[in-house]
Amino acid sequence: MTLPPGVRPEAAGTADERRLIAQAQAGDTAAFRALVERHQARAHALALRILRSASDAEEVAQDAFVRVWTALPGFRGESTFATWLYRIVARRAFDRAQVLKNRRSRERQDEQLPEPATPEKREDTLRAAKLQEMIARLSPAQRASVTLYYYEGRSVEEVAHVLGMPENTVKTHLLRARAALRAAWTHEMGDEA
Amino acid sequence: MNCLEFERLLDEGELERLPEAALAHARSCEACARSLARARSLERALEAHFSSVPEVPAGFADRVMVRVERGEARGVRWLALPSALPWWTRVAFEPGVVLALATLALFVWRGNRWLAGAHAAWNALSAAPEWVHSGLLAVGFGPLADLLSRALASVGAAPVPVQFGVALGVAPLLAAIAWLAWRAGERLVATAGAR
Repeated sequence: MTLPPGVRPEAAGTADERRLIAQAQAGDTAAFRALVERHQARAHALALRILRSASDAEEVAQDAFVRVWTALPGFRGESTFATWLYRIVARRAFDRAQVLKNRRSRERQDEQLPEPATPEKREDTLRAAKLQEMIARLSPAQRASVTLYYYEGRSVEEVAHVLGMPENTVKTHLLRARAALRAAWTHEMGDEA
Repeated sequence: MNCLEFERLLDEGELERLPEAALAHARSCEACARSLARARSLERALEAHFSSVPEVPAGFADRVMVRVERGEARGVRWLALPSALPWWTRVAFEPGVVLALATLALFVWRGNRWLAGAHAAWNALSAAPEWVHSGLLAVGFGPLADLLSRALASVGAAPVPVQFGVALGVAPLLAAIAWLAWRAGERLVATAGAR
């Protein structure tokens, strides 16, 4: 049931997916498993982007899927299944990120984020690693806002809805995050950027 | 447009929708043209970063399904089921609505007696300072007990509207204490859960 590389689950919201959802709503765990397999990669990636900790990301993504199973009978398809799932993942990841921020500021520990899909060129790898470091230095709220901004098709309204923040707050987070990233990007890349 | 305004536009991130004035400024200002090029390069890098999907941990789906099949979620799943009944049928049978209507009916029927009973209960409660006083004296908080009992005794002797006003004044304090206790408990739970 795994999608081919490069195909987004939203785009594959086909009759097949609707059938799986209907079966899972009726309690069919095999159908639910197929949905998990279909969406696990991006759900896990979203949690990982916000949390930057592999173990926490897995736990949050698992919790989100368990929550989805619980709430699935009430899912009416007002948004796509993927969007609904990502909202649950993002909200949980953001809540967890806030808890971790306080804990980490005391413990000063950080886990390494696993490398994303290997870029073909060495230069790209270097840039990707630097960008990852820059994103890691953002506050949890800025990181969650930026991550969701790219996940939610650049809709500030959706990001605000998912994070439970006013739109102006999200805009401020995005503005500050972008300013910080631009400054760091210029510093890291210089004129080669 | 000056350079500061241009930088601000870049921070807003709408690189594809920059106004003509901004583009004209970038054409005439070398530093801003470089900033624009870097901002575009960052945007491309961010697009690539967020579209790449890291590998999912092996056995992830298995672990989710173990939790689902173990019944972690099954107990409350029925709560999410859409109702098969129309809203007007549900409202008529909603326990909360029935209870509220029954309470309202009883109040209309026996309201005066209830108010008299509530008043008597309040008067009985005004005797509480004496109990508190003797209890605090027994554990060695004499001065505090005196202060407290004087304050409460004067409230008890006051007319009902004054007592009601005091109760309204104290309610936010109690609510704040309850909220603080809740947040403290929440923090304990969250910390324990995060381990």
